[in-house]
Amino acid sequence: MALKTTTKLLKITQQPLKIVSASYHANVIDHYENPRNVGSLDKLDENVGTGLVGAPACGDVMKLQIKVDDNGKIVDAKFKTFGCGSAIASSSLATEWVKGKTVDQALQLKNTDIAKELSLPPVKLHCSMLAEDAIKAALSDYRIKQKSKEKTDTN
Amino acid sequence: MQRFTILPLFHNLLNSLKCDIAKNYHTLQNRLFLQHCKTFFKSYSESALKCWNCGTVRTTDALLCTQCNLLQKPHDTSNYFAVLNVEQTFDIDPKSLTNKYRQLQAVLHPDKYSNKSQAERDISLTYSSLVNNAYNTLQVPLKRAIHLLKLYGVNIDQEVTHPEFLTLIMELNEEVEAAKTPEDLKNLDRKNKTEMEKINSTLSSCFKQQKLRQVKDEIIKMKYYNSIRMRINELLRDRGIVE
Repeated sequence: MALKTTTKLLKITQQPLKIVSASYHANVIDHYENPRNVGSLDKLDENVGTGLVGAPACGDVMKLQIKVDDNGKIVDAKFKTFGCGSAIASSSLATEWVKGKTVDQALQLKNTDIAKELSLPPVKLHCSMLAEDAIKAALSDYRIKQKSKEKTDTN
Repeated sequence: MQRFTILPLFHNLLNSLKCDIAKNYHTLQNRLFLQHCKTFFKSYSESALKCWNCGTVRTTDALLCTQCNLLQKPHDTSNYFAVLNVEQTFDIDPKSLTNKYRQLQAVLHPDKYSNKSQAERDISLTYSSLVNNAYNTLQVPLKRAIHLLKLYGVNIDQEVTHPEFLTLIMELNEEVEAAKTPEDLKNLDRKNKTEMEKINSTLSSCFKQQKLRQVKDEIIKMKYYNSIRMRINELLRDRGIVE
């Protein structure tokens, strides 16, 4: 009798553990375990835009860099993220998506698209927002560099 | 008249509130006086805290009703300092906090209510978990600072962090990533702890001077150092080093 009750109790306590291990979507785990485009580009290169953003709510930092060719097309993208699985997956996916796009097309990228692709739960939506902010920051850094370059060229 | 003079509580209440019934106390007829007292007492008890079971007026920090001895609901659930009945300050004494916590749980832990009514069991359950949350929050300086700032009406949400500071944090994270030996990690952990202690003392003085803007900035800095600390601990744990 006592044994039966214990086994029942064990069954109950084991249930939540199973749920926890399955909480990340397969796409997140894929990007987390095999992150694409990890690394750095030369931030002094005038064709490289660097975006560095942080999430004060969780203490995550994300660096995203893009390399743009003379036709305004993003030829390379790299990221480095110190944060949770969702933040790493979001930035990994973001670098994959912006590659091959033009600067204007990349600006259209929304955090909701990232969240949808990775099936992020509501508590992790801010990770995808961080990735969007990182892209925007990298693009604006690139534009500022190009403008100052134009100025020096005309002078 | 004698019936009323044996009720010192009545006298105290009436005198302290300088109610006009008290002024006319001796001139009034018994019946009239009773009526006045009834309305007076009704309005008083509506504004005061009462026992959910017998209606006896209670103080805010009393856990049990003085009349029927049943467990009371928490008075203020949003202020963790009030929940644990400790002074609302950042410079909290960890020992007295733990003492307060143990005292409370000694009375309201659900284990003590397994034979009591459903209502009391429910109160015990929610109250006890509230006290747990309060203790876990106030115990950790970072969480305590965030809670205290929230009580001042300031929330930490989407804030833009200074780019220079982010660069520094990125570099620190890269150092952790590049660390090869456990000694390297421990050194980085020590460095990080010193930084966090510095922020702690800054927080303390900023709270004292009510510099809430600066408190917010320091809390955000602390968050980043805290996540570095957790990363170092995780790496050390992966290598089987637990301290």
